[in-house]
Amino acid sequence: MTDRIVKLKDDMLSEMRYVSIEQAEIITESYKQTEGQSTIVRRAKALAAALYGMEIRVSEDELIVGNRTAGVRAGVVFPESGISWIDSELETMHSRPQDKFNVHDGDIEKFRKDILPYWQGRSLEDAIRGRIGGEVDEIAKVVKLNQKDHAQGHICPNTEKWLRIGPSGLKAEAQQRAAAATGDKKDFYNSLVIVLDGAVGFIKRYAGLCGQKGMKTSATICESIAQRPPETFHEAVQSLWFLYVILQMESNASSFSPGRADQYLYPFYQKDVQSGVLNDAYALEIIECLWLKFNQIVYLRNSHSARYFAGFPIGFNIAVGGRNADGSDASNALSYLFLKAQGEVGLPQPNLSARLHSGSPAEFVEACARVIGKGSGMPQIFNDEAVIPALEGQGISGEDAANYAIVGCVELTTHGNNLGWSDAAMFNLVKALELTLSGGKCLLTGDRIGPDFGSLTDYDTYEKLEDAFARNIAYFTEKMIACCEVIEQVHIETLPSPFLSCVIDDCMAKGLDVTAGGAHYNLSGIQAIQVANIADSLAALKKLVYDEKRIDRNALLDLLKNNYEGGEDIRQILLNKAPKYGNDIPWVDDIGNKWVDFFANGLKSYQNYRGGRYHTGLYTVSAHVPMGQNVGATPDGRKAEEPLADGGMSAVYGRDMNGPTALLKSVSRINSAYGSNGALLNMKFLPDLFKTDEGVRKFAALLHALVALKIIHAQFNVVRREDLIAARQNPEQYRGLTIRVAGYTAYFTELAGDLQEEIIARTSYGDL
Amino acid sequence: MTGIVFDIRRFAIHDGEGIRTTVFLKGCPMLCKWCQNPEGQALEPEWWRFEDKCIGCGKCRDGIQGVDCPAEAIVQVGREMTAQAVFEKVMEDKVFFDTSGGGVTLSGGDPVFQADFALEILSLCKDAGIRTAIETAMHAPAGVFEKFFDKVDLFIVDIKIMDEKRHIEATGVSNALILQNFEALCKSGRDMLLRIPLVPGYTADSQNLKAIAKYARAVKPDIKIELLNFNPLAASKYRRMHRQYVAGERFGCEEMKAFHKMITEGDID
Repeated sequence: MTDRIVKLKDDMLSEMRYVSIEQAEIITESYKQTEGQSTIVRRAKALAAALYGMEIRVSEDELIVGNRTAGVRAGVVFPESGISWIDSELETMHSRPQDKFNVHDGDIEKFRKDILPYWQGRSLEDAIRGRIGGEVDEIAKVVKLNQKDHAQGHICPNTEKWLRIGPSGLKAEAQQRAAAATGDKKDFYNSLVIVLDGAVGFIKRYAGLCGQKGMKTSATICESIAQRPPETFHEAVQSLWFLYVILQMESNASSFSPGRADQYLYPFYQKDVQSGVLNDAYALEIIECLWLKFNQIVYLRNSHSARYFAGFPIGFNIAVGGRNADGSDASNALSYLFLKAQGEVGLPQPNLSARLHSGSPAEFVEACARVIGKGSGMPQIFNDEAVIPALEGQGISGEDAANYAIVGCVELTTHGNNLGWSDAAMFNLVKALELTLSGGKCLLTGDRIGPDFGSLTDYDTYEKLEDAFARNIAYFTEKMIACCEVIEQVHIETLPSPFLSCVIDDCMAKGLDVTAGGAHYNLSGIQAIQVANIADSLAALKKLVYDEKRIDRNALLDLLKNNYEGGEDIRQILLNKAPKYGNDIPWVDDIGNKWVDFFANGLKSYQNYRGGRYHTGLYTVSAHVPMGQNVGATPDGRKAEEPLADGGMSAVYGRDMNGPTALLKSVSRINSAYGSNGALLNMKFLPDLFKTDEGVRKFAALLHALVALKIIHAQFNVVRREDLIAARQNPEQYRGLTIRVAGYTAYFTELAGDLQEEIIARTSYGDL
Repeated sequence: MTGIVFDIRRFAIHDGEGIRTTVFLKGCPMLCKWCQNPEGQALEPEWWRFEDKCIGCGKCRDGIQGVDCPAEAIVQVGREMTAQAVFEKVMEDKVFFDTSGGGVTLSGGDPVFQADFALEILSLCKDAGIRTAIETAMHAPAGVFEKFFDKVDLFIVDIKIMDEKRHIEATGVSNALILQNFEALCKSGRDMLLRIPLVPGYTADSQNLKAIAKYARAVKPDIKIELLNFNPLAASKYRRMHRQYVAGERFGCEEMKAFHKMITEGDID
């Protein structure tokens, strides 16, 4: 890294994080002045007011300027989407367990006096609670409904078009269409013009400030891209960043993703390199400046949501490599520069993804492997051979599917033409299984929270148990969909998004806001949680209770109610004498697949409010912890409130005992068609593997096999010393962690303490 | 036919090219004091107890052998398997062999100890297009050892000590047969890798390393030699078996460099 990047990174990370109410004040003031106008026009004017009025800041070292607040990593209060939770959490924001924010003196008072009273009853959050609060609560332990207090985001806008015609070109298009439009459509196009004017004004303000600070290059770039499309690589990257800043100012949403930036930025790079104004060192510095910028916008979540999505992930997801629609490999010089930037900067954003396919060059796969070995968990790997067919299965055209991108953490989308609504809800299949066994009563509280289709005592065959499980899933699915529809409706009513609509195809052509169905594709994603626990629990029931009759049904139900108290021997039998998902045992893995299949098919009979399909994802990110806290003891030997399997497709911690190849084989039995909304597999490796070229090549071979096995995704964590220390303390969660030596293999947790110490001492990746 | 297998490990990455599945066959004709798989020495199955997993259910009150322990605190080391079953297990990772150039590696114990069983596994694998390797100390009758030549793509062999007297003291057998087989193997032109395990006080000294390197190069001038650092982790197994393990630690970077120098300088004198 250059001195510039080191300094910018240090400055950013040492700056305190604060809650910011500045934009909330501007929005509130604007809304007071626009009473009686249509919501979309009011939203447009509020955004424009912020673009003209927010304090801005630049630093002399920056090559890429711009942020949505003057301070970096601010937690932006956004009244239109939800404010009640902020009111109740302001005092604890600095001390909450996950994702703390400081609050400036006087802001709490200002918030309660100037902002809160205006929005009470008007925000998205209040409207949803007013209409379906009871219904949401009723199913909350089985279904976690999302987007109840913020904009959905998880969108990959058409950055290519933004760069091709710029804000002025978009404005000209909107003006032209506005001239011929009437009624709602006229309002829509006028709103687009308002926000695009605001965008131009915003960029010009930066030109002015850079000029004052003597930052001539940035001043010229900003002045130019305010008026015309970018022409150079530097201009294009700066223009790209402004697009994402403004999108966040409009929506304050978790995740807008640049997607395949190595593809659409390449013509700029190539032209500049050919004309001699750019070399790789300078390009890398510009890229690293952008990488730092991605870390300056974080997302303020409520304390509950922060536990589900820890580390305020904002999901600036960039996907490198992959294949073109004609099947040829798409990786280029920028793909490698992006990987290099990730290896050097090593921060949580961008969320860098690499797309692999059967024709990915060995050089590219090894470059990915080397960066993974540095331990940032990136790039995460996506598999074109699984993703593209999965998307095509949801009605996406071959061309759009081949050009897929990733949004948020692992959610899949097309480029620039989809409102994928990928986080509509998480469906806790494990809780539904609990209610199936208990006859509808929560094992944690004893309360009735579901219908009584029978209990474990009643099911004298495994098939009867399966029937009741199916009925429970169908019951909660129906209730969930009813809520999802209302949530979408309220988004249409309260959060139309004119600026976003400028960069999502076909909103402009249809004259329809993106929330209302203006996008070319309109999907909704529901996550099926969690394959491993379902497979393990049902496999244990099938083998030990029904086939071998080793465990009595009544006794087991009692033990589940009592959290296995007094039944440790039975619990150990359930844990150890029934095979587990993740060990390449087909019949167990197939149980997981069967229920994902059942769930996904159940969704097919519904259509979302925008006329699109519901489809499934297989990921939880960090939600496996709080979702596990909702679930009582399970028949796989898991105790009440313990986390579910992590990730989405991963095995339960410590239960995959046959190494990474067996785990991958198991995962490959979950039909990747059901991960069309995204899937997540976490794997851990010791840093030793990446220390030699041979090790890197073997890891790359594992990636090639993952591609051949049609597994959608994997993210690789390099085990750190802290992990090993944790493994000493909680061996049951790390049973599968393996130490590999020639002609010898040992499980870490089975080594004596002093020998574990030796491994811990050897394990560091600083020397890679 | 059947044999006794005490472990099958997938994603073995230090036992030959690519990603491999290593099959550990029980039984060894030697009794090296530093053996890192002491449970592989005897042919008969044995029983291990993991105290930290014990839940005190009392099922093993009358001895641990044959107990179906609910907590898996007692495990059987070594099971009878058919060659076909081992082959099927190996095949589970075929996709990884294909992308990595890997395959199956027979280890032990010493695979030559259950030679017929080992040969059948190797034949099944080879017929299915799986690349094969064995890790062996070559202590087998010449007629037996030569049978492996056509079944194995890579021989990973080791010579531990050059001096015969010291060899007998440390391993319980003379190295005459070993050297004889080594020479035959070199002559056969098979792909091979010579490994020398570094054991403090037994093998890891200048005189021994130089002697092995010099000898090996005299037989096969272009031979690949690899030094295996001492593996103190095996101490855990010895404790579990109530046996004494040789004392020592892994050699550091500088020491390893010095050892490497010893085996390369062997070229000169």
